[in-house]
Amino acid sequence: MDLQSKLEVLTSAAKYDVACTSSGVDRAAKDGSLGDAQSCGICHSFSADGRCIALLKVLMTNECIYDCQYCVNRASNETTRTTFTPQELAELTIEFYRRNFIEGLFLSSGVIKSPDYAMERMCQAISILRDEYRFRGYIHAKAIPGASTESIDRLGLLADRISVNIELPSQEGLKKLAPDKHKTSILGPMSHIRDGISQNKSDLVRYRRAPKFAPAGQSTQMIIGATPDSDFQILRLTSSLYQTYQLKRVFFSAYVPVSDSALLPQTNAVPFLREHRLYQADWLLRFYQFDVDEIINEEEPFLDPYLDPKCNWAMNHLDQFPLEVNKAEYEMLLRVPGIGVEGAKRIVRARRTQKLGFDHLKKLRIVLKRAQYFITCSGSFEADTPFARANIYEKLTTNANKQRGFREVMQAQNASQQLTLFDSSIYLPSREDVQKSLTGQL
Amino acid sequence: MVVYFYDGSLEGFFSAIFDAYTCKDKPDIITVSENFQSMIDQVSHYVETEQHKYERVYAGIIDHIGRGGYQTVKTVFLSPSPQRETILYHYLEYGFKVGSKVHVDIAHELVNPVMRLKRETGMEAHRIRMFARFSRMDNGVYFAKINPKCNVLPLVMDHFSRRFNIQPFAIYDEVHHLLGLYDMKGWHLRYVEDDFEPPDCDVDDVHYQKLWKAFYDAVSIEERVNHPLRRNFMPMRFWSNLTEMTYIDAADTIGADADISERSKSGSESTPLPGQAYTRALPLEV
Repeated sequence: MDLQSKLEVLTSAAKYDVACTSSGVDRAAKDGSLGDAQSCGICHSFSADGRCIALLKVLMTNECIYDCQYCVNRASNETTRTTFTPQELAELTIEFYRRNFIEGLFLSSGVIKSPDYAMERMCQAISILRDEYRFRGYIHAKAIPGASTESIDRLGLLADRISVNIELPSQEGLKKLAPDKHKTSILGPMSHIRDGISQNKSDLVRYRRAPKFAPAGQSTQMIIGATPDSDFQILRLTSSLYQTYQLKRVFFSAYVPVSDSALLPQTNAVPFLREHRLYQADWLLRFYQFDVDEIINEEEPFLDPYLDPKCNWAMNHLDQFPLEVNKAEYEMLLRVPGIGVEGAKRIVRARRTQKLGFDHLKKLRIVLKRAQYFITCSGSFEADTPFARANIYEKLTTNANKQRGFREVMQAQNASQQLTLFDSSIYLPSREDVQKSLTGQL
Repeated sequence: MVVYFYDGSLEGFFSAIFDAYTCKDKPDIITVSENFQSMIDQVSHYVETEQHKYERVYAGIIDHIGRGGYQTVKTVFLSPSPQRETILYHYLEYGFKVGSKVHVDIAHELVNPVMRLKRETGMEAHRIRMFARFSRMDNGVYFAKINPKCNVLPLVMDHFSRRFNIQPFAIYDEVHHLLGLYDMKGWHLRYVEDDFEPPDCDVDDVHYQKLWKAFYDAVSIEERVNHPLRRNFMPMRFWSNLTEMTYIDAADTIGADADISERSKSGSESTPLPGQAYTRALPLEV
């Protein structure tokens, strides 16, 4: 098979991996070596699906002995199988990098022969890049569930970021859909990487030249909608991964049907909106100082499709609003729907020298579309509706149907209504229905 | 209406600021002569670019507003806005008065427009870091063609020359007719003729362009296709210089190239932009 066909096969096989970030590590350029890494990360292109392309995202091989039902590369799937040689892959990375196509390499692999053998092949390719080409760009590598601690250690010293994919948010899900993986084979490597990173940090304090172990940290990914797990379960798990395993990122991937296995939901609707809401909640956890219990609870285990999680929280805590932007604490400004981290910082900076009015906020590029219902400027409330729960709710939800994914939810509902005997002309979807269609149960 | 004309260089602009403080007529507008429509009640003042003037203003900026302020002025000066000099003049005037407070006062009517232009120019520079695409020429030099709105080449050369320090490269800004050259020792900029024709890339390069295009197409998930989202992140005005958006097929590349150069020519008819100073040795460079 020629290089182009290989590249096509091994890219298509890797594309469902969400992570394509090149952030988290600063490595200055060095005379005589190619490349550097910047902690802000740089995207280089955007594919037709609007996702960023920062790294050459490929599999070392798509041959796999595991038979995970949700995966295109499962052993039982009849598909073209191929493998990069380590040299081929290293060269391709270098040539793409020299042309400013990419920030570096994202390397994952099917489980060829055994987890350790697959890891060995990945390490070979990466060490050609690092040692022979003296490549200083970004490398993100997947650790394979079930790999030995030795091979993880080796990978950690070569790559900037390592990730172990959880894929399914519960033990039952794994048992059903990925019989070759279990909780310990995923969480084991994860805690090993965590310990490696913290050990390395103290080594670096003692010996400045100690080799760095996964300096950009570790991340993971979960598939959304392949199992009946609720948002509550997913977010609880996410939050504990940030706390116990010190992960840098948890990615969510809306399940795109790649298999007609009877164990999986048989639907063509991809739960985009649900994925979107989960990311919004994830941002609240990471940047907005929210606690997971403030976002979701067991009684209502799914995020509201009509309102984003921040609006939802604000609507349930209207007693704390409207907020006076000239006086409010930074932490509270962060909780105003529509005000982001940058916006809150700008407000805090600008109000040191003058009293802010709505005109100033506009100049500071604060988007008032949602924020107007929750703030006052020097005592004046200038929203287009009185400060009352029902009015604000109506205003916030009128634009909801413009949200991407919302139409799909509604279409899924319309389709399901045709199968029922309800009078569809007056039928309004209940919240529960929307959630069911989001989880793929409808 | 008092209008100051200067030569378009940063030194010239600083000389204009000097004049604004020493002449009795304060300027209402500072601009480069070519792109200014004269008015009936206009009083014109032609600024002489002189070393003692611009060095004095440079020192004043560093003393009163700090290095950060100087960086801001340098960045905003690359913006294509016709009001940039006047906006910067008001910003400096205010900055000389209040000192470093100017960095905090981001909602102030004289500071805010500067922040806006700075963000715009900085963003454009970042987009060039993202979207510049090099191809290898016969002589081993890597060449990229860019078409930024702002004259950002001076802002991105450091980035590329650090990262690609093992390869000589050239970046050609087809909008501002500026060429950035890196020879593995250092980089410099020079203005080129309007009809500057970039060299052809070598055969090997076509191979990698093809592979890149193959990767680009394969990595997209069909069920998630979202063109507006892509255009949001990667505005169409950059597509003419993006390998993945222009590459058709090895056999057709000659035709495709001709098509692109056609488009870039029609775009280059606008008046040459000011900012010629970058060809000269910059005493103000820090």
